[in-house]
Amino acid sequence: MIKEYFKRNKAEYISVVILLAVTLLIMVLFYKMWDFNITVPITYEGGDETGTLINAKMFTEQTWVLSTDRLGAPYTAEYYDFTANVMHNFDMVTLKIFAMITGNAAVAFNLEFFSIFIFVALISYFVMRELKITNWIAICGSVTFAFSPFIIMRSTKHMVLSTCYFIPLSILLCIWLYERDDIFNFNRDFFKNKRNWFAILFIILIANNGIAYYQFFTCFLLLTTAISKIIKTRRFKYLAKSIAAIVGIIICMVINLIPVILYMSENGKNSEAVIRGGFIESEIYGLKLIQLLLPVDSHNVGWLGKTIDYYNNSTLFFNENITSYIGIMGICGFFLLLGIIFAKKKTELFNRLTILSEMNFMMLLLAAGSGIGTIFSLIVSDMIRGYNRISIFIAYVGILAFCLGLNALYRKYNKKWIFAVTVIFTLLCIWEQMPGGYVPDYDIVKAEYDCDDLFIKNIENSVSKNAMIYQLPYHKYPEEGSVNDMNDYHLFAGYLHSDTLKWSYGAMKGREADNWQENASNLPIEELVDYLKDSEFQGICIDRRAYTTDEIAELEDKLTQKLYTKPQYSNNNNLSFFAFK
Amino acid sequence: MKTHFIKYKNEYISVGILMMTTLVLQILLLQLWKMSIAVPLEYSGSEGMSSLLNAKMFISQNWNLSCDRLGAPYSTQYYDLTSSMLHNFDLITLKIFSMLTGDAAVALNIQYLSTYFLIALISYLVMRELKITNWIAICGSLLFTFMSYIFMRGILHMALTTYYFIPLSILLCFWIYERDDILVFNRQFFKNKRNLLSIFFVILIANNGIAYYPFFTCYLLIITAISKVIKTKNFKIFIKSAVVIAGIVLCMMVNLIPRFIYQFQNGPNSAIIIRDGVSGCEELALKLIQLFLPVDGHRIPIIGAVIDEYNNNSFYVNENMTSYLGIIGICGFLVLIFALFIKKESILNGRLSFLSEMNIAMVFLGTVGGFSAVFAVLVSNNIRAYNRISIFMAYVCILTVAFMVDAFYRKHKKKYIVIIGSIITIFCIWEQFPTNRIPEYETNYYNYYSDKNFVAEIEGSVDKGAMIFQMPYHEDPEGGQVYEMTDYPLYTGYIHSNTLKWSYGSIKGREGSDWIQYACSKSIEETVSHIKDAGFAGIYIDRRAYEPDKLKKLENKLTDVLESTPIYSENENLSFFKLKEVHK
Repeated sequence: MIKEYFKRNKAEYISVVILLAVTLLIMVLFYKMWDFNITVPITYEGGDETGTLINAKMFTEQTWVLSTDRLGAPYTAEYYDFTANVMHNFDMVTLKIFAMITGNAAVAFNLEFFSIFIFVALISYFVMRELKITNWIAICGSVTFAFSPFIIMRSTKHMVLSTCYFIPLSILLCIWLYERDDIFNFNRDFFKNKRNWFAILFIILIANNGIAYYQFFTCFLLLTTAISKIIKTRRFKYLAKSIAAIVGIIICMVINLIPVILYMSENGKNSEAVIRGGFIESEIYGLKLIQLLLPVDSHNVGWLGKTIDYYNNSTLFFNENITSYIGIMGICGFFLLLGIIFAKKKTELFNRLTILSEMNFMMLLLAAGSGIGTIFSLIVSDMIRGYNRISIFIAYVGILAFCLGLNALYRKYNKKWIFAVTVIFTLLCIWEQMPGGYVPDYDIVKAEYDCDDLFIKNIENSVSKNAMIYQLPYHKYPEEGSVNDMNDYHLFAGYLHSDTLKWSYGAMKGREADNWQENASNLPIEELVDYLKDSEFQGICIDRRAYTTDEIAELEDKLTQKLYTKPQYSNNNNLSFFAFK
Repeated sequence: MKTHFIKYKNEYISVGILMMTTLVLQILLLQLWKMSIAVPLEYSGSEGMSSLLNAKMFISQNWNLSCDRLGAPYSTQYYDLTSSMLHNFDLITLKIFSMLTGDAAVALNIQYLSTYFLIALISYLVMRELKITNWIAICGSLLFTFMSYIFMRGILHMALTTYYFIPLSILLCFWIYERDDILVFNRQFFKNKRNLLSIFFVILIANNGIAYYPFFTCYLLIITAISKVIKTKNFKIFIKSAVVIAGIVLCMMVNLIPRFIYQFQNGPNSAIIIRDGVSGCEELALKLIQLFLPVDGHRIPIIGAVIDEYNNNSFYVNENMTSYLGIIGICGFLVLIFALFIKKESILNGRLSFLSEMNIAMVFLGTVGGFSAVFAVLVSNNIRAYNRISIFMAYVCILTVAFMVDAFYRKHKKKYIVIIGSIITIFCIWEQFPTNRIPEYETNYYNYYSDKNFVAEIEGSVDKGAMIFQMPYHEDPEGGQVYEMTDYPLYTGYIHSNTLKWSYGSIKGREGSDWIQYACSKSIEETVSHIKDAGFAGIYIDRRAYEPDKLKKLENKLTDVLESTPIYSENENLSFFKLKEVHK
């Protein structure tokens, strides 16, 4: 029975194996993984990637990540105010699994990152196969999508967005609603249709990925699908189907938010936790059509560099939107979809391209400079601001359109040269869209990581178990920005490299724990030391990068005089520690 | 002849109603009973001065590309300014009005006010050509005529306010899209009157809108070709569009011949207009939200609050705030977005579909970082203010609603539709009118006569044809505001005098401009000595360009050096020091 099943689906299994092997190979080649040490995080800069690293660390020692008594000392850090934390549970679950299996935060972090490529390729492949795209074309399209500049450039820094594996499911859901009358028919046979089951699963997955952005964009596409269908058929039941899917997503998100809602009902709202600058941010972080077409910086083709530099050096609002490039295959699909706007044919292929084309231009209208997104921000809510993040949806829609077109061409002519040309073209596209300069210097990362590790381990050995360590400078969490050479989350190093110590950094801003830190930080050094001693802290750890040379010298002199002890320094001199006698 | 009038009686009545309504609305909205025809509607010293200058030149001389009464001691040549040659149609009408009236202000006012009538008329004729019922064409044309765009740009951007040929651009696209008999290059070519009209349209379009309107028209012609080719797989449409585009480009090239000859003789002038990368094209791009966001100075307070929230907090709120489509335009825009989802074939759907294609293509071109940025990166950044495409979109959107109402009216033929349609039209015109754009008649009157009397006093005190040196030195064109002096008030002297020669107005980057800059770079004593030697008869100061302390210092110094006290204009914006050696 099983044997027969495998025999019947042999081609599929072989395809999946090829897909995974190719993905792995490209990953190994691009990231030069022969130089890579799995026990050192692929990036370690104290930036946004630290959030994921901290999550991994928490997962190795406790159940979940919404609170910890080892941060925000002498209080407990509670992260319920940061809504985004509960809006990407799927990648939290995978991270938890990796953390449980490996027991090492860095390893789990690395596995989490590299698994993204595998997940993205695999899910995209299944979606394409569901859409009846020939295996090898689905492989080409999926691998191209898996190595989108969006994923590579956001990398570990925006891990919650790099994990864009469910975007193909969002698109598939829309296509199902558009094409299939048997989907979401709320009658007695509802649960007999396996696609309804899948649709529910997709909704759960989508609602748990992409920190509200991917969910929001999916809902927008579901509405677009409904509008398209209603206009074409004049039947409003399609609106009910889309709304059902949207409600499903919202319910899942609300369920995710239950801990936040409960916490806030007990502790009140925290208006300081996440501050938005109004609708203007939707313009600053809006999508620019040109950036979909403009290759990334540090481009593999030298002569294109000048054009890219010309644009990048003179454009306004140059920020994370630089990750919007959709690659040559995406661009081909993008223009095909623009062309479809003008076409009026009625064939199966054309119908499918039509819905993709409609999604494509609606996404542009939503996100492009001061479009529907800005109107939404001005009138409804400015919490969604990074509209450029829709570029990865546009990339998938573009690649899918290209694959559908190619698939039709291949089925019509069935020539081997099409296969050969496409494979070469795919490799060219992947090579072209891979941005240079995004592969870390592993030696530097390792040196930094090991240095911090050694230093923190020494502290841990020099104080009692579960001791509290006060950290300087006082730095609010989250999203407070860099201070001199100290990045936003460098202060998490203590927690990351220790197992029992409690660290003062990490209290949620706007809450009592943070107020305590702020008050303490306002005391003169002499009083601060006494106060910390009274509070049972056992030492002060300083991130020296946050200070100018004069400032750090003055601070350390004062502490030396007060404590009658010289500090210990980390080997790279970034950190120092004063133990209380 | 009589038969003709009987046959087209309805048409003539409609045009009569259209013209009358335009006049009444113009009077009511602009409060024209407060206006003095001899005082320009706009007199703030900013870009509107250029139009006044042109009118003055047309009275004193044949054309406006050079003038020996500006840029003294040299003469000034405007051949470097490409845009001067790319709006010849409105220059011709201005020339006619100037010749007829003999007064620059009157000519300019008539030119501006006539723009409304021309827009209404051409829009009406285009809608009628597209078989829209008379009264709907009247309503649609009135809406298009009284767009916020025309009031907000006003005389300041006269070369863009004169958007009367935009309906012709759209009609040309329609003809190419719908008619197989148009632009068929065979022996029957000249027998088809639409071919002759097309050639006429091409000439008009190329002579309007300082390259922007021709550029947008060419873009729409390409979109038309793409649309038709995709639908029919017949590539000959490309040739038709390409021919029209070539026609427009050719006419523009012909217009630019004086420039080519001048630059061939005098070399190029790279200093004239400086464009910086793509930032200009993004800064002045179309913002989708502004198509929907009513103008500032809105009559309804709650809407005003939302507008203020946007305008006060957004980056790069500039001339793009003229983009508002009005209520009917917005309805049309939304219909066109929905029309993109329709794939059915019918005459109405076909037209809506074509309009929706043009509409979305314009959004993609104009939007921040859109195809405009691609064009700026790959081809040229000289076209940068893509928000100006909003007026094309407005016409396309209004046309859409007109088509739909027309279809509805033809189906039901009820009188109440006419009544409701007319009321809605009036309401929408009322809503889209920016109340803060009513000309400041009293201020203009006061300043205009203050300047006029002042310059007349100077002209009376010096020799005929005397040269007057103007301070501060200010680049022309686009020198920008200096303290409280806007960009072009230094043209005041020229506009109000008949024989005097003025130092301002030399094109930057040329010898005349360098001479004045050099003269101003010296100490006051040296400057006075230098300009005396050059034969100047006095020094004219625009006092708004100086902070109070610096102005006081300058005038005191001049009083000491020249041993004479200045005369002042009534509004104290201007002062004049006569150079002693020169006696009348």
